[in-house]
Formats: sequence, C-alpha cells, structure tokens
Amino acid sequence: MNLIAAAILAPLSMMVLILLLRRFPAALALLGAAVGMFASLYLLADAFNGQGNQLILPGLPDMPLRLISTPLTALLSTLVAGVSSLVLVYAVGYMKKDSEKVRFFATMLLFVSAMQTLVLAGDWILLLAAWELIGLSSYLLIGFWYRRPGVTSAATRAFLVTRSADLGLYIAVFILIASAGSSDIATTLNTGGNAAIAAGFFLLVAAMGKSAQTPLHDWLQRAMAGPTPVSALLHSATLVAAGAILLIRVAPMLPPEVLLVIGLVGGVTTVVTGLIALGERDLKRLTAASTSSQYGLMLVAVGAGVPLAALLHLIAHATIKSGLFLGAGIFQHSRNSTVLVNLQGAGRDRPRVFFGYALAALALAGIPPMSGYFSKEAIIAASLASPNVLLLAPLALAGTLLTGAYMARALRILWHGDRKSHKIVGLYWMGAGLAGLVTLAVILGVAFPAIETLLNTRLPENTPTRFPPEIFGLGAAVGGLILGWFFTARRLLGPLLPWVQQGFTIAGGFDNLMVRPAFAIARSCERLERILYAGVFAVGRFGLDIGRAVRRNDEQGIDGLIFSLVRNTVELGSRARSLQSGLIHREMAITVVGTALILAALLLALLVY
Amino acid sequence: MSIELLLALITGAALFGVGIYGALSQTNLVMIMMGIELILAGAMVNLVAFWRYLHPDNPAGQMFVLIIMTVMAIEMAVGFGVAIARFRAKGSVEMEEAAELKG
Amino acid sequence: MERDLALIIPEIIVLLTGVVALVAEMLRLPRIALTVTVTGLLLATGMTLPLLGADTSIFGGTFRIDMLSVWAKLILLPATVLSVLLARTELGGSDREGTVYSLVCFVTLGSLVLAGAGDSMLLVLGILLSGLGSFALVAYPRNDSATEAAMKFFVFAAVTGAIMIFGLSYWFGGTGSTLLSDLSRLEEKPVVAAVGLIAVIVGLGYKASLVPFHFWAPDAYEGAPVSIAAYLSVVPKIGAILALTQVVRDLPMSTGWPLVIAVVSVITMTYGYLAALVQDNIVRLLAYSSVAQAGYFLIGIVAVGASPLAFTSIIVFSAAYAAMNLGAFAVVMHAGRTLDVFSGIGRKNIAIGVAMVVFLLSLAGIPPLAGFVGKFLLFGASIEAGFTWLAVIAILNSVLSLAVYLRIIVPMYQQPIITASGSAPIPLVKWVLGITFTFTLGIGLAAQVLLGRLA
Repeated sequence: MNLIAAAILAPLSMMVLILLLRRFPAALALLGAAVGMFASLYLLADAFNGQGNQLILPGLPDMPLRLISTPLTALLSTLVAGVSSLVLVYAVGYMKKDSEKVRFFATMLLFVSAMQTLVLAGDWILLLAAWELIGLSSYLLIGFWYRRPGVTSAATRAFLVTRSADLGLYIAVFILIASAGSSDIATTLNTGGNAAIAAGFFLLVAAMGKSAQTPLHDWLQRAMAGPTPVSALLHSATLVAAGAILLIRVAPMLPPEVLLVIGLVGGVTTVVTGLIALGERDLKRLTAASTSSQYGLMLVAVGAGVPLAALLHLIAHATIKSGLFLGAGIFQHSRNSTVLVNLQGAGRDRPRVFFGYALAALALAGIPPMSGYFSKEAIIAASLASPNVLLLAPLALAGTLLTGAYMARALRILWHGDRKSHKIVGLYWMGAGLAGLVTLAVILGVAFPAIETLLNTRLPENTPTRFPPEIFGLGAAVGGLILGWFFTARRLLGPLLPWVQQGFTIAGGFDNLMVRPAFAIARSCERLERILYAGVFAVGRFGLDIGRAVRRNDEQGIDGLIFSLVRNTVELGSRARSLQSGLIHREMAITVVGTALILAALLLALLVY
Repeated sequence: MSIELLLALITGAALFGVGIYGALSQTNLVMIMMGIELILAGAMVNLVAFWRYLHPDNPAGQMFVLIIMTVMAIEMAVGFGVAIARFRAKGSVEMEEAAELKG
Repeated sequence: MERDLALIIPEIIVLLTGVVALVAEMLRLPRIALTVTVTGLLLATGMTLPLLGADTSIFGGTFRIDMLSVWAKLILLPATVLSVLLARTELGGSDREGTVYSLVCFVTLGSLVLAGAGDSMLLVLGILLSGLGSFALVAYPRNDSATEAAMKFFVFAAVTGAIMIFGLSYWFGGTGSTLLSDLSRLEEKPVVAAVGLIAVIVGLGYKASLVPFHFWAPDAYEGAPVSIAAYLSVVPKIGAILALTQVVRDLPMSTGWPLVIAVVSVITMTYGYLAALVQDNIVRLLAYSSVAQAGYFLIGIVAVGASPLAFTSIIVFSAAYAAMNLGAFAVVMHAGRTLDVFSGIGRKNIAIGVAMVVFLLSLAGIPPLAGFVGKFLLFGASIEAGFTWLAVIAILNSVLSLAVYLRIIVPMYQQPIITASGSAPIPLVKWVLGITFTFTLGIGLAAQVLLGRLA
C-alpha cells in the first residue's frame, strides 16, 4: 500500500463509509482526516530524508497518471491534511445542531481527498481531474444550505466564475502537452519560447479565477453563504490556494513577461481587495476580501521571481486564515449574525476566543515573532530585489499597510461595545480547533528555515537598498495597525467609502466601460443584414453604453459580463431554434442552400489553389 | 468528352434540378416522392451514360443502376406505408399541416 | 468465397435473428421474439471477437473487415441489445411488439454495412437498410406526432439519399469503378471529387445528423418512443460516421476534404449546443446534444490519414458515446420528457441522480469519465493532423456544453415542482442503467487496456 494513495484514499474511504452507515459522521470524518494526516506526515519525513515516493497508474496511452511526492508536494499535502483535520475538529462543534451532518462531513471529506489529489498530482491530466473535482465539491459545500434564499445562486456564481476561468487551464494544458509531448508536469516545465508564454498566461487566467484575483474577485465574497468551517477550509489551504499552488509549481517555467503580469495582477488585487476589506460591513465578507488580498501578495512574490516566499506565505496564511474564520464563526454563533454592527463587543464576552483571534490577526498583519511576519518580510524583500521594483514594491507595501488597517479595525469593533452574547453549544470542540490553528499560526515561523532546507532553496539574502527590508515591512504593518485601531473606516477612506463598499462598482465597472460596448457591437453583428450598419453605429453606441454603464451602478462588473454572455448565448440559441420552424420545406430549403454553399466554397477553393 | 455524353449528362442534371424543385415546392407527400423519383432518374441517366461512353468494360455501372431501381421501389413502398399511417392518424398527408413538432 | 462468408458470420446472424424475430411475431409470440433477438445479437457479438485484429476486404473489395468495422460490431451490437431492453420496458405488451425487435435488427444490420462499406453501392444499400426500419420504428405508436415525425424523417431521408446517389454517379464517371479504394484516381479530377464528396456528406450527414442536415432529428426523437430515440441517436449515427471515415480514407488530400469536414464540424457542434440551450423538452435537448456530439466525431475524421490516432479516437469516442447517450436516454425514459419532472429527482432517488449526473458530465467531457477520454483523443488526433484551431474551438464548445447539461443537473437537486415518478426503476431499466454506468466510468478508467487491444 503506497503512502501517497493512503493520503488520498483515507478521507475518500471514510466518505464512502459515512454514506453507507449514515451514522457517526463526525467520528468517522475525524478518523479519516487523522489517517490522512499520518500518511502526509510520513511522506514529509521521507522527503526530509531525501526520499521521494511515486505512484503510477495506468491512464491514457503514453500518458500514465502519476502521483508524486517531492519535497514541495509532500509539504503542501501535510498543510492540507493539517488544516483540514483542525477544521474538522471545529466542525464537530459548529455543526452540532445541524440535521444534515452526514451530507456535510461526507462532502468535506470528498473535498479534502480531491485537494490531496490536486496537490500530489504529478501529471496534468490528473491535475485537471482534481481541479474539476474541487470545483464541484466546493459548489456542493457553498450551496450546503440550499434551502436558504440566495444560497444556490451564490454557489452557482462561484462555480460559473471559476469554471469559465478553468478554461484557461484546459488550454494551457493542451499547449504544454502538445509542445512537450508528455503530460508529466516535471517534463513540461522545460517548455520554453512562445509556448511557455502562451501557457503561462492561460495558467494565470485559471489561477486568477480560483484565487479570486481582480477582476474576478467578486465571487469569493459572495461565497460566504456556506457554513463557516467550509469557508475556513476553502480560503486557507484548499480551493482558493489551488490557484497560487498552480503558479508556484509552474514558476520555474514562466518567462519574464508572464512574471511581470502575474506580479501586477497580484499587486492590484492586494490593494483593491484590501480597500474593500477596510470598508466592509460584514465580518465574514471582510475576512473573504482579505483572502483575495493575501493571495495577491503571493502572486507578487511569484511575479518577483521568488516562489519560495509565496509558498511560505501560503503556509502561514493557511493556518492564520482558517483561525480567523473559526474565531469569526464563534462570534457569529454567539450573536447569530456576522454584521459588524451586531458584533460590537462580542470579543469582550469571550476574552479567550478574542485572544486567539487577535493573535491570528496580528500574525496576518505581520508582527514578529509570528509566522506571518517572516513570510511577509520575504515577500517584501523579494519585491524590493526584483527587476520591477518600482512597480511591485509599492503595491506590496500598500497591501501590507492595508492588512494591518483592516485587521485592527475588526479587532476594535469586536472589543468595543456592549456585552450581550448568549450561550452556545459545542464551544469546547470549536475552541479546540481554534486553539490548534492559532498555535500553528504563531509558532510556524520557526519551521521556515527547515522548509528552506527541505526545498533546497534559500531566500535571496542581499538587498539593493541601504535599509534592511524589515524596516519597510514592519513599518507598514505597525502603521496599518495604528491607523486601523484609532481611525474609523469613514475617516480613513473619506469620500471613497461608499464606492469601496459597493466593491468598486466603477473600477470593477471597467468591465462596463469595455465589455458592454463590445457586446453591444457583437449583438448588432448577430444579424447579417445589420453587419453593414455596425461600423457606423459602433461609435455612437460606444458613447451611449459608457453613459448607461456609469448610470447602472447597481450592477456588478463581472456579473454583468457573465450574465450578458449567458444572455447573448441564450439569445443566439433561440435564433437557432427559430430556424427549426417545423415546416419541412423551409428546413429542407436550408439544407439544400447549405449544401450549395459548401459546394460553392469548395469549388472556389479548388479554382483558386 | 463526346457530344453524346455531354447531352446525356445535361439531361441528367436537368432531371436533378427539376426533381429538387419538385421536392422542395410540393406540399403533398406523394408529390414530393415524385420529385425524388426524378432525382434518382437523373442519377441513372448519368450512370448509364458514363458506363456506355467512358467505361464500357466495367459492369459496375449497370449494377449500380439496378440497385438504384431497387432502392426506388423499396423507398416508394415504405413511403406509401408512412403516408397511409399518417392518413389514418390525421386524415391528410399535407406537409404544411405537419408542423406541430418544432423549436 | 467460403472465406468471405466466414468473415461475415456476425452480419448473417443479425439478419437471421431479424427474420426469426419477425416469424415469432407473426405467430404472436413476442417473448420468443425478444429472447431470440437478445441471444442472436449477443451471439453475433461473440462471433465477432475472433475477427479482432483482422484487416482485409472481401467480395472483391466491396466490404471491409478492418479495425473500424470489427469494432463497430463490438459497439453497435451490445448497444442494440440495451436498446431492445429499453424498448421492451416501454413498448412491452403493445400489439405488434415483436416487429420492433425485428426492425431493430435490420437497422443495425444496415449500420454495420455502412461501417464496413468499401463500395459506393454498399453505401447506398446501408443508408437504405438503416433508413427504412427507422421510419417504421418512429411511426410505431401510430399517433399524430409519431406519424408526423416519421413523415418528416422519410422526406428528409429520401431527398438527401437521392442527392447522394446522384453525386456518386459522378464518382463512377470519374474513376470508372464503384470501389471506394479506387477513389485515389480522382487526384487529377478535383471538381468531380468535390461534387461527389459533398453529395456523400449530404447523404451520410443526414444519417449522422450533421448541421445543416439535422432538421429531422429533434422532430423524430420527440415523436418516437424514447427507447427508439435512444436507439436512433446511437446506432445508425455511429454507422454513418464510420462510413464517412471509410470514404475519406481513400480520398486524395488535394480535394481539401479535411477542411470541409472541419468546417461542418464547427458548425455542427456550435449550432447543436446553442439550440440545446433553449430547449424545455429533455428529449429535444438530448437530440440537439447528439447533433453537437456528431460534430465531435468529425474532429476525428478530419485527422484520418494524417494522424495514426484518428481511427482509435473515433472508436473510443463511439464506445463512450454509445454508453453515455443510451444511459441518459434510459434515465429520461424512467423519469419523463420535460425539464419540470427532473426537478428534485436527484434527491428522491439517489442512484438515478448520480447516474444521470455521470452521464451528463461525461457528455460534457469532464475527466475522468469516458466522454473525456474520447474527446481528449479526438483533440489529440486533430492537433497531430495540424488542426489545432479545430481543437481549440471544440474546447470552447465544451464550456457551452456544460451550460447545456447543467440545465438538467441543477434542477435535479432542487425542490421538486411536480411530485410524480418517485418510483424505483423497473428491473430492465436498472440493468441498462447499470451497464451503461459501468461503461461510462470504466472506459474512462480502463482506457489503457482498451487502447492496448486496439494497437
């Protein structure tokens, strides 16, 4: 029995067992997670001893499916197993009153094993399959409370956005396999030239969708409709992380052009979503926006050419963010709400929970000696040392500043206010999960040198500036914390606030400015007889649509894009339908004319060539 | 190409054109079937002409004509079967009245 | 001669099976007809196994016993058995039940003739044989919509068939032979080759429901019994696709046929999915989906001659398509024809729900299911043949297809609108579902084994 298989099959078999027995779901889930955890730890230990594992399964001809355990994949596998185990411990308490525990734990386990497959996959086909599976299981988890209003639409939206971006992965994989002639990930990393550039861009699109990068960041905040343990798991080491993990794994292949774009996408995201988090009125949505922001920082590190820094931040962020969500979930249970106004003072009621939450928040902000400090320093140092320092470093520093500000704001709101919480069930289990994660978040920084040894790479030591980068990073973090603690969001953002709270409708509306006119033109081209007029009207339409788009503030940018895409497609469909008149003459005439057209085209081609 | 072959091919093409026009313009199933007969007749004229003037040594041309005749006969038999079933169900074999399935 | 006859034993068995089933029906013994049909078809499948690996032609080159025609038997005969089981469930007990089994045998025989055709005349005979039975099957219920569907089907078939025969007459003029293997003589006569090619695309394209020759398909599927629709969407269609493959493999490249077929492929899959997007009737939706899937088959045909993967990919996708399409139709037969009756069905009957989701996701080409393996090979073949743009468009269409299939999947897990048909499926349907489900999963997972046999 191979250990790699154990890491994947342990949760999967427990899922099957839960579905069959339909009882003891919590206990079985914990058992599955624990066994998977041991398998992952064993893989990690093997990796430390310089020993890799791999498992080759029959697949397509000349393209076997493989699972490999390299230092990187073993590390990620341990991270997934560790975070998911602690989240499951917490979920035992959180779901105590829910009547559908069987479905919940079964889906969670499916999700964990899919994520393990993704992390351990050694070839693109298996990675694609796992990528689809985590998309599917996250759809099921976000839509878990499908009876509540709005939940299914949130789940569908999350699925649609990530799904359309997934197309990038498909195209990238085809490019890579076609140019390298092998589906093995390690082999395809030797791709160079234009193929690498094209594949890199398409991989970036896929990663942007999964990791909720601007302009595709909106779905993540809406995906808060699911249970809190689900959010904790999705945001930390799994679904959202998949995008960053993908980029970290292919980083050796990426040419400089792609790296620059990755860095810029990450930098813009970290600032935009950081501002959104600062203006947010709901604790869970604030945390979600912060997730996008932190993944933006990781992309900056990848873009700066130091994927190791991104990896360290991924690990630190996974423990911190799941801790933050678990804390938020306890506050939510004690006030039956996640709106910040209702949560005022919730922290003072439960000082121990608040203490854990605050530790995680400080770690995220990057205060020494906690794990977030080290990883963030590494990212800032990387951005300072990169050739594009002028573009990347200010964005990274702004992101760090914003992180401090919004975390301090959340802490202030939780601490100040009246005490009126009520008793909640399952606090013991929830506290245990939280405590475990926060401990990890605090002390994990110690393990970073060991990770560097394990991966056999070092962070770049020398910096071109006269001051050590710690000064910049720590300054930004502390400055942000002070700003956030002493000033309200209204004072900080000023006239920007309403705009930010709408999620940058007008900035996100750059879709409105560009995409809508494009679609308007496409629509006018749809009918052949109007093609001639399209050119004349396009200019006028462009102006009109900009005007309309600015007025239509309520409609969100990217939704607008997707829904207008769907609307247009469906419209095309009904046009196709109207051809099917049911009158056989007309249908047959179309057939004959079609035949004549094909024949004419072919004869013309023969005459010309 | 001999002038006889050309004349035969033109006749075949003309039969094809008339047949297609008939099949598309008639609304009665029986009339449509007559149009189809004309197309097949065009094909047979072509085949016989090709065999006689270009490839007299290969009997496959004649074989093909015999097969087309069989096809015509069987197809008409089945066509009338369908027409009778339709007539029993609906009382008419007009194609214009058969437009309930659409979309 | 003895050798030639020995090589078509499976076809002879199918023919005899159809005749015996007809006799049994005349004696009013429908159960006997059913038993004879199922055993006969399974026997023919078994007799095909020794032919694996053969590559020859018989009767003076008019019929080919090659990879395509042998695998056609191995795929189409079991698919026919499954369709017969479905038909038994749906039409069992109706008067003239046995004629259905007999007709199905003849249509399958016609499809097998198409799949191995090595001669223009065999193309005509195959189209005729698989067409005639189909009209009768569609008209079987003899009600208003069934006869309307059959009438349209017949008119369409007759016109396109006549056009094909007319075009084939020019090929005889150009080559002096009706054998497909002599088509290489058309190298110097590209115009003759082009006219004949278009005619063949019309004739076979109608059978395979390619756009713009597809108009009969949604109407016929809607008017016919669901089990018959399932059968028509699989067996004759695959037969016609394989016949088209047999034609183009000998056609000189100078006619530009790959480009023509690539264009038809793009039009077919895009149009099929767009039209499917707005259907409310599931049978029509699946009809348009099967139109679109025909476009995917063409991707493999484009690569014939340029990529060694072409035949393999067409065969694997045929098997995958047969399994997943029959499965989806079986679920529709169990549940009902409108989207409304599918609401909540996945929560009432978990097994049916899971099976349907697997069939639909496989149709959409999601890994690791059979549809994905088939499409992956098709894309690989077309890329190898230098048609990368075709693969890219096909992948784009896959996204559209997911939207189509999600239209069925999503309501399956919502609150039911109509509280009907919560019953467990009838045993025969259960069998069919089980078998197709196993194949849909199994082909995806065991692609390696299957491909080893093919190579």
